[in-house]
Amino acid sequence: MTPVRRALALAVVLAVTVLGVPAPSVRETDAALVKVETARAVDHPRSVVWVLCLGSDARPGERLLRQRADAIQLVGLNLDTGAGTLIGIPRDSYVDIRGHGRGKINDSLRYGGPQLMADSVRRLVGVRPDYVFTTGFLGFRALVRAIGGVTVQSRFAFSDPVRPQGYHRGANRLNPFQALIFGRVRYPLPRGDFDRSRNQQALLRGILRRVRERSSRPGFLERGLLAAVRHLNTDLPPAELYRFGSAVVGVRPDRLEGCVLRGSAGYAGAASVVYPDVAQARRIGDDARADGTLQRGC
Amino acid sequence: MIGTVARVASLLLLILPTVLGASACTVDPDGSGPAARSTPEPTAAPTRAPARPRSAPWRIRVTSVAGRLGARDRPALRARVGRTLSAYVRAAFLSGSYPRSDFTGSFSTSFTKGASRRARADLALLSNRPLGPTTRAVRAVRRTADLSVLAPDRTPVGVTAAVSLVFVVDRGERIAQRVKVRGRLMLTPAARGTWRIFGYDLSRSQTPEGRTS
Repeated sequence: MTPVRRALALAVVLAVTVLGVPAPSVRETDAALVKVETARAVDHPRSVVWVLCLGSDARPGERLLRQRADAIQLVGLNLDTGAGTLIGIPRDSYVDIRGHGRGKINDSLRYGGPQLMADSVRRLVGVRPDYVFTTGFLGFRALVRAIGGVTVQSRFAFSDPVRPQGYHRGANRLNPFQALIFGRVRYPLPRGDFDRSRNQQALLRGILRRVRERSSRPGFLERGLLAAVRHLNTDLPPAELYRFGSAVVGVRPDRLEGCVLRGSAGYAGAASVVYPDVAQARRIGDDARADGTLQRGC
Repeated sequence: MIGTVARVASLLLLILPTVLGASACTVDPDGSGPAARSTPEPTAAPTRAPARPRSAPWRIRVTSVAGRLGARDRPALRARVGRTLSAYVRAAFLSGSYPRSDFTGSFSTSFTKGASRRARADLALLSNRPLGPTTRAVRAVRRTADLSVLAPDRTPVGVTAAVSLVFVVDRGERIAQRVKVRGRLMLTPAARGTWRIFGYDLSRSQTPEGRTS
């Protein structure tokens, strides 16, 4: 090839390159490194919310709010920081019940519904719940079904007929019935009612984790909240429940510190009761009341 | 004669896209109002340079309903939620006199008070503030919202709008930017049939558009 031809060929190549190739490519490509910023916020009237979660002992056909509370968890949520506290209260805690003298705290629901139950918890812990959510066996299962099951971290291995493979230490993927049993059994657990309360906290964390994982799926949150509307007893109007549910998604399950109130087993007459460590209950309440988190541990 | 025909033809060519564009906006909550105030509208003056295309219309769909919502109620919900979404996008991106540096009022009519306060702390993500001072015009090339509705008792009480918004930001001599805002806006009913955004979970990315204008 002569120098002239080479120059000509080079010129053609350059011309094709210049004309055929787009201007310096600044258009986004799949491989481009793009800075993505995110922001999340939910407007809720309170930045710290205290919720009393109750599992009623009501059997099918019985009135949900006129039975004993089998599960009692006072949940503090800091919607600004995404942290929170789970305070488990043993159901047999022997306390003052307004208008009824001394008795097991779980009788408060039977005597006076959610209001009296909230009052008894406030008198013990020193924190007034903003909301009381009550559900029963069927309602709890419906809630877990609505989110497609739950994975819990179990501290103990134990067996139960509803789960042929048993409950293992560590992660357990549970269907609604297995989840209910996980939150109810106490005999296989070393510390009975105290460990059951820890299991209930593991359930709450698992439910929250599940909801967070799936909250961005279209319709997931709405289906879960519809189940809540139908199966939770609460004074919250549905629109407020929607806002509350949307806000709770911002809470991180790994930042929910659990604490079960201590107590000593004993008898009140013929009844087996737990005498709660009132000093500990008040200390925890004082610690967590303002921001929903425990600074000084359980 | 030929010149007259050419003028009429060019006039038709300019008017036609406007008419077609308007009909495509029948589901656009912007309607014929200030939909794209910042976008120069096509004009009928044949001597002017070709106008830029206007913003893409909204495409708003009800994609899931938890509970029940009658078929007749869906268009009304779409329209009401659409008005709120549109008001936000107009105020935060499309409207205003560019170049513009004040975006603090972007949320006043479409967000709840608390959400508006939070959003002002996230202005760089929820509005065109990062580019505002060097922006000449903003055009939306994609505006979609898929609505997930909570409607117990046949009444909608909450909506999550999965939004996908893409804007082309014209910056004059600088490289135009393509801004994508995606994620979720959460809404509840407010007074008189209006809806307000009470929460957001959004991501924003920005890439050069590819040519200077």
